[in-house]
Amino acid sequence: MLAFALSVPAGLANAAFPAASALFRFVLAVGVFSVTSAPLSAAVSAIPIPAPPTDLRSCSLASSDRFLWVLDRATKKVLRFELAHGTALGSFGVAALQPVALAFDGTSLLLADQQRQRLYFLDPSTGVERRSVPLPMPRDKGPGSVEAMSWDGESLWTAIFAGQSSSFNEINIASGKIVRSIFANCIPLGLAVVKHRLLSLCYRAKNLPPALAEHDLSSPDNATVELSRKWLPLLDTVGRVIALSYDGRGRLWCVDPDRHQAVPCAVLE
Amino acid sequence: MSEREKRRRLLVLGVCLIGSVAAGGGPQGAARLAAAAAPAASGRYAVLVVANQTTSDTVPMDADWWHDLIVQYQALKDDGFADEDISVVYGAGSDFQSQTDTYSSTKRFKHNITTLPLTFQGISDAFAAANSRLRMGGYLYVAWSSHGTQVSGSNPCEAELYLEIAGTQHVVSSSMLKQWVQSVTQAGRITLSVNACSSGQVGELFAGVPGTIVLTAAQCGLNSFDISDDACNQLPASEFSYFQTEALRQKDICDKGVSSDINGDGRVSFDEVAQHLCRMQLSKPQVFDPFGIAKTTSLKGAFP
Repeated sequence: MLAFALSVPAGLANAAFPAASALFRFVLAVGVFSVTSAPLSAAVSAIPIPAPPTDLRSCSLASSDRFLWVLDRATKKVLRFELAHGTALGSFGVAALQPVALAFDGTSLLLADQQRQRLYFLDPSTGVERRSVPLPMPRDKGPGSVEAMSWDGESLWTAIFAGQSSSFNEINIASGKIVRSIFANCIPLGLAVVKHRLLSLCYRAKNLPPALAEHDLSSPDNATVELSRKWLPLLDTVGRVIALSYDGRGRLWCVDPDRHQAVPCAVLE
Repeated sequence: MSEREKRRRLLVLGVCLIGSVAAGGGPQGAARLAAAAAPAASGRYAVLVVANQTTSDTVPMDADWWHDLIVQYQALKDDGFADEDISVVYGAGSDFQSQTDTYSSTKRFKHNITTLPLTFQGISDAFAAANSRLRMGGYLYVAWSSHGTQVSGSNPCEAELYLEIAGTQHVVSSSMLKQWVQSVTQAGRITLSVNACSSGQVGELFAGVPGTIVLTAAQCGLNSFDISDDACNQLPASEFSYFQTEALRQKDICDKGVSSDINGDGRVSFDEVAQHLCRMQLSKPQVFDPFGIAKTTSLKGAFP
């Protein structure tokens, strides 16, 4: 059994998911979710996540057009799923001191270690470390924590929670520098950058589903990008989800901590 | 300990926790500015600047900008401020159309409240209106809300703080804010409330300005936070503005009573506001009162 904790800034986690521990105990008792989940239909609508021994408060997602990876921060393990059928493909541990976020760059699985402030490039099937580089933080915006990451095809983006200075940051991996930093104006729970669209999952309240925001990155400057924000609808069936990842096929995926599932939470046009 | 550090410690009266602010607009703005341009007549004036824009009523940190402005305006109205003695700088010069009864300006005040657009000129005009309207020795209340960005690689307590003006290529430096406040030469006593990350730096900057009290949402180098889940109405609010305004009003935004008049003299001094800010849990506010006037200053200005 593996533990999952859904991605909510630490100060919000307890308030946001007070029933999580009890729910997990129930799940473990009845054995509803197992690691050996059977393949779903081709039009998979949800991927069961194995019940963790702790609670579902923080996790991070990454995806390709074939696979979905879920980082369980609590147990420092990554679970891999096959997207088309929802098949669980196993898991591997990571050596990070404080693993907090995942992204997939087409070749490697990128893992952020908050404590070491390093970015690890892992074999996406085995988790074997290929290399690591420092993970830059936006120092001018005060102390913060990495909540989510996304690869846009050329750059890595991080979502940093830093109170009212929370931000989205574009990182040039080659130079190791932050080349663009945008105020989030929300509490980021997930991040997916698709071409020129920066999509973020924003916390609303402990009893409400989050909101899905879109920024237009093609705007000429940061100020315009920040004001370009518009709100997109989540699917009607979505609950209090967290984390965000794009599967390359028009669907954004989230994690539903109450149902112990990865679920499509929005469709991109 | 350096001389600067010694001085800083002497100046800091209260160190506890954080917050944020908001703004709004309307067609009566021109009339109010015209009133402000009339011969000085008022004993007090308020300038509220929100250097960002709200797009949602339900998303913390986005909604805070407008919600905090509403509670600031309400605090002034509760204390008897006339509409023409309040300049509100927000967005394009018009109010955010809140879908909530609590934060809708037209439902709460029966009119829009924004008087000027969020531009350098708009901000400058607001302070000019204050100077024109105030009689000599009057009281000026300024509430500024924005992002605060530290200069990378510098000591955040000594460098300039950049206050971003959303939607523009401009930032206001803390020195520029000081110049604007000091341009109101008619004011004999000033309270400056700054709701921004690392805003303690602004308090440091105002250390030598006579007659001035500065309340800041966060110590230099630290951030301010939202407290939506703990707000009485569960709606987004910045921690600093929430606690500051409930102290001034002696009631929260839900109109539930708050015991902020600690000495029971029937008015809330900014010294009592400072003590109330110590209830904040997430942020670390600061109150700078180097001349010891917070105990004799309320929203009505100086009192014996």
